[in-house]
Amino acid sequence: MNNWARSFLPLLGMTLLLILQPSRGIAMNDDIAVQVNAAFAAARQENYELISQLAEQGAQIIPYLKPYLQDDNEMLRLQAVALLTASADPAVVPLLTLALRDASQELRARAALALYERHDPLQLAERSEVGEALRASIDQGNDAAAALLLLGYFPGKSSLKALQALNKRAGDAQTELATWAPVVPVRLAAAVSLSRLGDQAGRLTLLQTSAESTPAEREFLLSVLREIDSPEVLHALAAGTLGDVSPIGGGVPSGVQPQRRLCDLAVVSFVKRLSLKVNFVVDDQHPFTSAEIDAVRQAIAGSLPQG
Amino acid sequence: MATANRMIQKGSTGPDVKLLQGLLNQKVPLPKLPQGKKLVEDGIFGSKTDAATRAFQQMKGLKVDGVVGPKTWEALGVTYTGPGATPAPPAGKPTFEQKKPKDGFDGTVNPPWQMVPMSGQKTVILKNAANLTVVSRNPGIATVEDVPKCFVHGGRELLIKGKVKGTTFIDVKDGATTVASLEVAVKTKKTVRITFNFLEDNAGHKTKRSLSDVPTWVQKSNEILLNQANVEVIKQNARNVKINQNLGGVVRYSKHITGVAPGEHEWDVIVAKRDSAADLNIFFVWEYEQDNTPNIDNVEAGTLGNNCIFEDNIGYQTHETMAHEIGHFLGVDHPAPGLDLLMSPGRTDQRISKAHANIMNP
Repeated sequence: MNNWARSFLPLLGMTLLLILQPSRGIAMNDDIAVQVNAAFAAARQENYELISQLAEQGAQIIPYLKPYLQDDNEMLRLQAVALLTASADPAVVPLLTLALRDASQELRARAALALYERHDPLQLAERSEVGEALRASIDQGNDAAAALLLLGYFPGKSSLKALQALNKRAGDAQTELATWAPVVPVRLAAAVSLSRLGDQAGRLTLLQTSAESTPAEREFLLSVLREIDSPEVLHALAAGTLGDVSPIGGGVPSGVQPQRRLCDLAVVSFVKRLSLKVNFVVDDQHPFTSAEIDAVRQAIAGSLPQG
Repeated sequence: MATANRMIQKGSTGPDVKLLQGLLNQKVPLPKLPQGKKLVEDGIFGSKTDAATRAFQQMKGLKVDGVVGPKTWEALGVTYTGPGATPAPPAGKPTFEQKKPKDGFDGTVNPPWQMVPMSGQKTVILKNAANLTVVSRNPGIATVEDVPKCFVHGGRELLIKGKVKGTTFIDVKDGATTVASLEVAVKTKKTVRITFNFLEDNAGHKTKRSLSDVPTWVQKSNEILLNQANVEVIKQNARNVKINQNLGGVVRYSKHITGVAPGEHEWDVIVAKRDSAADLNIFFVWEYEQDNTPNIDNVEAGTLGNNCIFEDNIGYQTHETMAHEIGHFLGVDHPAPGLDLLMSPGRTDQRISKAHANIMNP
């Protein structure tokens, strides 16, 4: 090879690389489409290993999931929703909104939980289509706690009406937030949102539940403290939980003794909810002393007005 | 069902002692039997049978005295007919019974309870009601019909079909009077997609379990969970996972114990490897402990949120402990001592109660 060729060939190579660069970008997208389609083709044969690998690809798979949300095969739709659940990217919101109207209650519940847990409800509340889909989903029979709690961020008569109608037909039906979270009456989850939307009956339910109910019901209220805006209810719940040593799940693995207590969860929840300043370490693993719990009581009294 | 007509204790001999020894071998986990070995079924009630009896009584929350009387025989599943036996219920009262065990029937509550899958069906037995009418209080939720030409177990077989999610009652009527009821909970299917992670660290510690066993565990877990709570386990993935550090001979959860070096707490390092597409991740390790005495092997697995660490050396069948841990993932705690259920720490049964089924799948 002569000198001209030696200097020209790398230049030619670089030029070709630059020319090909845009099409490489397209090729990458095509590649992801191929991977998504291959994963769902395998899932159709009940092999979900490739779906798990897709989850590691991040947000770039999101645009390719939409067709699978409308597939006849319920397990494929469930896998698509699960992949959307793993992402906090705002691009998943329209797709999860679509899934709120799925024929399967399990999928509707999963979509609602993903929206509730992974996205800022105040930002979601700016999207009227999410509120409409939530109301339609609840009318369709979606009584998942996440759907009911999220609707509390969409003020207006139509949301109140949807929650009140659900309350009437709920009977003694039960619901839950996460799979391992306490199971509570649908009416209690609805009451949280009704209260947030200004409904007096909803607020009364919260006051009664805070004062006397099962540990599971009060644990549920502590887990949704972000949604409770009434100082009156917060005071009642603090009074009803900070002295309660009933064992509850969570915080430490199953079987660990002593179990976590309701009052321990109350300390963690109130410190976080009201940004209380305390002079001890607040974590999920350790039981709090009486003095520490008293300090939280005083901090609440000093930071939250009485009605 | 086997029967026994006397109380036995240390010093007794005979076929009923042999029956006892066989049942203790079945129902008491091997680590709790004397010297970790099965009893010799020789019909002689010696020191080892006495110790195993006491271990069983402790597991069941019974009085620990080594005497096998009415309550211990009953807990062993033996009908006791000797002195002090519970009198049989009065004949003639309509009674619901399970058609087969572990099929979603709970006869310990009043009224008895049956889980029925939505768009599915279950069969129960109704005794002492040959000429009575059976109706569903809400046929929109569940319907009931007699299985044609079927009159078995001294009773009728009733087929209950689930229509939509909800709760209703099957009433047995004598004219206008309801003389017995069965509560029916129609449940939609709840899916739990699990990724099974087989761990190895960089110092040669490795689980002895095999990926090829996963389909059997899934199938057998479903025989427990799907039939009783309409919870279906699906294998999302099964894979080998390498941890690039030495986890030592015992993998620990110790964040809650004061005075233990933070490096001893290995839970977080392991669960960071979870498959985010799965609902639940199970991590198989060689040995796991979560208390202050890591050298005493008294824990088989621990579940927190959507992660479970599961050791090789367990006293129960793998699928049974797996179903137990899935129960924790689904929000169920250990029940009070004295109950023998899937969720009991010292279980001999895989039964799921109404209360637990309603937590697993509300």
